[in-house]
Amino acid sequence: MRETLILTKLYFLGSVRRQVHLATLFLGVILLMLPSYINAFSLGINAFERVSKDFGLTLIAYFAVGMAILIASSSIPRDLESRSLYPILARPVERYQYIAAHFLSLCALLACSLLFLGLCLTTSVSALTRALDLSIFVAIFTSFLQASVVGVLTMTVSTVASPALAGTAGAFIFLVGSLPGAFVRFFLVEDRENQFAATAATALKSVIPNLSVFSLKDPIVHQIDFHPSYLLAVVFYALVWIAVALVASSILFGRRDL
Amino acid sequence: MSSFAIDFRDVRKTYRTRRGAEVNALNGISFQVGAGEIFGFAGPNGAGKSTAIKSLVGLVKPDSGSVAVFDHQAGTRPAKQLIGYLPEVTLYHEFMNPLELLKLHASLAGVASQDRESRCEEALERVGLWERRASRLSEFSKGMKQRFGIAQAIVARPKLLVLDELTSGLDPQAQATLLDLLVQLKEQGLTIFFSSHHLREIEKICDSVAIIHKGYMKVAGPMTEVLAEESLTRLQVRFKESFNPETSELPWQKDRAGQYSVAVENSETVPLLRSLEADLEEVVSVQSQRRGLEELFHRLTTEQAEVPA
Repeated sequence: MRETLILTKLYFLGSVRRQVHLATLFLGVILLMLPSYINAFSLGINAFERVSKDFGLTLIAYFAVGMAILIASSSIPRDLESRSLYPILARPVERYQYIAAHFLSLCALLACSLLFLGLCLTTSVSALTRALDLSIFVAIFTSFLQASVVGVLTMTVSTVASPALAGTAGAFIFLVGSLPGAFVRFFLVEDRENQFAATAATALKSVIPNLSVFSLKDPIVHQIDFHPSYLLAVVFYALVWIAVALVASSILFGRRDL
Repeated sequence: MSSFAIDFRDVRKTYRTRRGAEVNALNGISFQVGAGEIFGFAGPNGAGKSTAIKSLVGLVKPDSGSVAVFDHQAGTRPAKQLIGYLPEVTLYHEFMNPLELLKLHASLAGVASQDRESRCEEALERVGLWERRASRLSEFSKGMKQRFGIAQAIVARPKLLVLDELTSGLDPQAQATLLDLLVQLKEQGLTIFFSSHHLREIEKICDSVAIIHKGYMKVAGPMTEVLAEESLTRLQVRFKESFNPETSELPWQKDRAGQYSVAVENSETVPLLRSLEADLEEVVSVQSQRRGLEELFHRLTTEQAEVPA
């Protein structure tokens, strides 16, 4: 565990010093300027609040996934290309610790970025509604879980593939995983009666995580109640996928000749 | 229990290319390195040197055979704790300064927190980088990066130092500085395993040597024995006027005094003298002449190279 934490710090600092966080700052400024984009007084305060939250949370969710895919797809291949992992893995460090460190540094970076963006969005919305609404952070937390799951799966692919391939795989997992089951049923079965495409899509969806469960944006924006146990179930679902992906990537990377 | 620092026994490794072709990187190589030696590991590009070194530090798993480091299986935690490794051409985490990165390596190697500062200082002093401890690694020249590489390899006071192409791409002065450093480290009891294309530096500082070619071990052993086996006999003779040695197959060389000389394998000396008996006026001298490592390397890596030694 000690080795994992030492490496996590190294990779986190590496991302920070490569100025990955500048993208977060840029998006934060956009979120703070939301009132300039949305005419609050023509919509009315309630509509403004909803539109702002919807727009902001959507932006944050896509940003988190994009950041996760970019970092996860390139971090291990970059270490391999620069050979900077050789002196590290020649130390008494196991390969699973190396993988876990990369994943934890990604999570730390995502957590810092999303916390900052959440604060920007909350500030922006609260400035006009004159009320502090922290429920935004619940939706941001599930976006964090979603990005972590996409990130760890992208990282698993990156242990055996190029950054471009791993990034494409990550984007594919996100797109197919976010596809609601109702979409498959309606557009492929009921509307087009394309049984083959529906079966293929269903099969594909059953082997990759169902990312639509992480979207709590609508209940938060429209103030629809949801049971707290749902949040627990979502956390458990994310942790299972993360554990499975970490084990798979450790096995794949452990068998690889460097 | 063996007393070897490194023990390779019949190590084989085959890679598969993306097109499915097999490349035999190591074809059953065996050699041993004694504790406290500087061991030179030579071979042309693609000979299998890096694969052997990576097997030693646990980055590659051999298909068969065994690699041991002070009696511990290579790649295991106890073996890794004894090794300091400098890979060939590594880009370190260049956003850090040498002291930060060295502390990180020291902690990964299990150096106690109270000793880390002093160990890092000692390692940086040793390679002459203490004054630059606060500079970014990205500002370092190639020679300075190699010196830093040695510092990270020795910071945990390993028993075995594994250096892959330490001096490649460095200017002669930087090469000489690093070689002096290796000799100093050996004097402190470290075993140094050192791969290089520069055969003169291997010959100069190594106690033992191995030459690998196309995954086969061509020769391995103490430097004096390896080169002694390769010694030649240089004959200096005067021929009768009736004999013209230039018609002979041997590369006779004539000096200003009209004497001819040629270097032949030890075993060929007596038969040659017998065959020339009728044409010889006088045998001026018979001297033993040692071949250099460079000549030996050239012969072993070009002549019947694909045949196992």
